[in-house]
Amino acid sequence: VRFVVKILTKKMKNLLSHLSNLKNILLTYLDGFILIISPLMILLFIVGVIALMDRTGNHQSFLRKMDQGLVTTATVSSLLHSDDSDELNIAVNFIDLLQQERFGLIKTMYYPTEIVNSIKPGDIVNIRYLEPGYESQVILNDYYANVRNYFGFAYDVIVVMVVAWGFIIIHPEFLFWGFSEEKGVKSKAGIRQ
Amino acid sequence: MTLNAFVLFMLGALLEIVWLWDDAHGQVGEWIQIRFLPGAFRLAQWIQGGLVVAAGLLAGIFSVFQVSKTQVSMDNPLIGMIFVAMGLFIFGAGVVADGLLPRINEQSILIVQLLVILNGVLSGALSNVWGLFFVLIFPAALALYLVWNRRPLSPLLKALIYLWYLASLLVLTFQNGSAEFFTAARLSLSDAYFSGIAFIFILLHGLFSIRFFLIVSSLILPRNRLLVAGMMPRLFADDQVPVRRFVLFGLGVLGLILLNVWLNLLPRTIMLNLAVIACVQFFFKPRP
Repeated sequence: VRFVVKILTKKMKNLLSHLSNLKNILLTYLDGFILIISPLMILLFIVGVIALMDRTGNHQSFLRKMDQGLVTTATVSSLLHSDDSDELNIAVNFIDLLQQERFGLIKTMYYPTEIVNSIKPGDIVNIRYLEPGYESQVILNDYYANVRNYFGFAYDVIVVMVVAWGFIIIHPEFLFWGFSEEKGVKSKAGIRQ
Repeated sequence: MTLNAFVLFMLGALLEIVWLWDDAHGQVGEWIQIRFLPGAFRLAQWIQGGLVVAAGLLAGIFSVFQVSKTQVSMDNPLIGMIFVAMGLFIFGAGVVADGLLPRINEQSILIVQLLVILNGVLSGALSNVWGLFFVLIFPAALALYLVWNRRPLSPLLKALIYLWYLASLLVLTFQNGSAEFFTAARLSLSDAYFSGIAFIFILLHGLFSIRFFLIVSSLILPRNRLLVAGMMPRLFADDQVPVRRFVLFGLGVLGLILLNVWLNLLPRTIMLNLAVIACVQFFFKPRP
């Protein structure tokens, strides 16, 4: 029995030692991988900031136009499911200021699900629309505050930026490139430190 | 803006690039003399002269052909391409490489804080709690600390203060509506010229602030702090604030801005941007 225990203990020690080596090898490769992609992550983060500013600017511009928009009642004509996403749009018909019949599209991403689910074809809704010449997008006037506070346009960009930021923190060496005056400062960055 | 206003906008922008480039490279270079012209000048000075002459010629030609009042905007593909090329150049030379960014000292930071406070008072941004904190209390506290502290700052503290300085420039930009001003349809020739200068300065610092935010946030991990020690001397000089001289100069700048508000000589946006650029790039330039 003692002999078997001794053999088993030795085998277990060998196995643990191999596993430890394997972990070190994996970490070294992972570390190298993060180092190689960190410049790409820096670029991704910068592009993310620019995209975020662009989307915020577009949303603010849309709101500024809607502030000058007109309010009327519209009839829901149909619910349109987008083919390439889960997005649901609501098509409405209304008579504009020039007494012409127009088609409008309500994007439902701004509103809570229960409000969207309560709208059926044939319903009469209060909408805010832009003068002819602008896009056909209209909004539900009773829930204008939801549109105003909407931040959903930023979620996907922020997720990408946070992931990129995590990689950059592990290996920030490229951020200091070109500006370092002290030569020979050896980086200790990396996931194994 | 009109075509001639655009020419002057570009003149301001290109001159600012030359000033920044020359400054970042220590204003060195061979003195070049050209026959029939008086005196010898450095290459950067020749380029500046050439740009002024070229802009004058272009504006003259456009006036002769009566196209100087034609409206141009970013929607025009050629104009759009010029702006994209300029943005890429600023990104490459000023953000990726160390070719344009001006070195600052405590006085530069102080004057920017004073201008943020003044602009906050003038624009009514102090009416809410956040405005009061970011535009008055924090800048004032930082200014007092910099005046009171007579020892060189640690690299980590310098990095945090430099990030705040970049944030202050962005706050100032949004506060005084520079972005709307640059794209305004009706810009006078002088406004267009000064806007070109301010556009490059703001674009450079705006883009660099993203990189620097990443740098400062990477300092969460103590092992990364070693890296920032080598970077800060390039960005932030150790010059201490000469209190009396600074107070006199600061009062002079603030007085000039208030006088401009009273007499309405230049738009406030232009005046504030010019005050920042003049102080950072010319008056409070750190010792080499």
